[in-house]
Amino acid sequence: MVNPMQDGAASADLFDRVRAWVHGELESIEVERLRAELARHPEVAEFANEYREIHAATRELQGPRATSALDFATIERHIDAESRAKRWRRVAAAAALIVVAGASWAMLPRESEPLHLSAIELELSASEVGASAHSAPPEEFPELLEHFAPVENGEIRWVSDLASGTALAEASGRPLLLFGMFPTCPWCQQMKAEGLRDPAVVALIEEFVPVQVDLYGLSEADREVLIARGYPLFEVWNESGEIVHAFAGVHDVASFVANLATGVERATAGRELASWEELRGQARAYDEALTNEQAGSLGRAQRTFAALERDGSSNALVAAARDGVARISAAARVALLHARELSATDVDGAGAELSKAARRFAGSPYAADLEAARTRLVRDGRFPVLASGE
Amino acid sequence: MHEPRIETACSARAHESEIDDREATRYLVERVHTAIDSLPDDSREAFLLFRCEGWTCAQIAEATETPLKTVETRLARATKQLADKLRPYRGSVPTW
Repeated sequence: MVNPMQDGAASADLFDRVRAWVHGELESIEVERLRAELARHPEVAEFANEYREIHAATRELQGPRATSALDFATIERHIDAESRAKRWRRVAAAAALIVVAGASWAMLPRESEPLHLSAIELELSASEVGASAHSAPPEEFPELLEHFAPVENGEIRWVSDLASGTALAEASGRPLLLFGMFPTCPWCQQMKAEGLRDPAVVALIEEFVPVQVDLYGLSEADREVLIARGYPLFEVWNESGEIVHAFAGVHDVASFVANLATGVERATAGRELASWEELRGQARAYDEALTNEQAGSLGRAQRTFAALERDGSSNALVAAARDGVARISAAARVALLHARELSATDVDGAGAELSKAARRFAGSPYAADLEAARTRLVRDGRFPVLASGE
Repeated sequence: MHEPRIETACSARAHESEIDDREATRYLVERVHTAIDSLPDDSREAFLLFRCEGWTCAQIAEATETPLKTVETRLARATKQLADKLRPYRGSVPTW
């Protein structure tokens, strides 16, 4: 099949798309496509640059800026009367309307004001570009946090593998306490039986994600690395997995408590930690938002994601919530642009799509934009020109 | 002619004088009108319909019974002439 785009011929609407681009009416993907095409057609690229150059200067020729806009008589002066009478039935008809209405030339119905969007972004936002950059997949948050507590019935609830522990630390924003031991090591057993059961120690463990690793269960290479750091091995890692305090060996309660306190202080740098109950609540909220998103209740999901993005207690949770907001923002843009595309062939269908979308996004800031687009579509019989709100 | 007004408006902008900004804008509009007046008839028609009326090239071609390629050529010519004529005034008005 011959592809005219690759075959050297400019597409028929290339000039129109240049105008749409200069007027800020193209979405980013369309702009990229246009740029690629202009690169193959330097003569049109030259037109694009010059049209952009005069765009602002000729702005006064259109729009309802009465003090400086050209009135109809001025435009009429530019249009040769003879050729207008002969060929321009549409211009004449429009002129008659203007004279009757006593309105300015720039107020022709087809020159309706752009619809300024209050929330939907026509361009890909920075948060969308950076979405999913965090390491913990969103789906894991509820599972990780919803049912976790570091202490139950006065006893430490050790996480038994390092991978789950680090994921929990990242998800919760809490430091990780690593306890590396051998089952046959008497000092390790002494710490388990005494120091780690002391109420003062248990109370401080509430601040951590406690991870107990049987050093025999590790690969030889990993085991050697950890043994070299001493055992029983005690280390505090911050939520990013960096060791901030190490205190291998046997400790009495006072020493152990002091080391735990140092570890917390270094890991959090004075940052106030959310309670586990709060974290579990946020994890449940995140889970509900995901469920709502998957069920198509995008307005409800957006509200929850936005609240978690604002108030979430860990960097990872905030990042995951930001991803959620970005996904829903993108979905709103897709819904709007899909309706715009559909309106070219099916205005009623596009209106119905916008109604449906407004319901799906109800309660979010995007619903108003969708509803406004539908209102304008119904009123004008065509899709409004879209402009990003400022 | 009020050529010196441009300078007045530029300096007035620094002092946030709305009156002089308006005068500068008005001056530019006059230059735009003059530049449009100087275009060949067919290019002027194509440009005004395209820029001011929002018509597509295909609509202009249909209404003027002219091949699409010719409309595009006229538009390109009009735009180039306007850009050449208006370029000296670039920067003389806050919005440009």
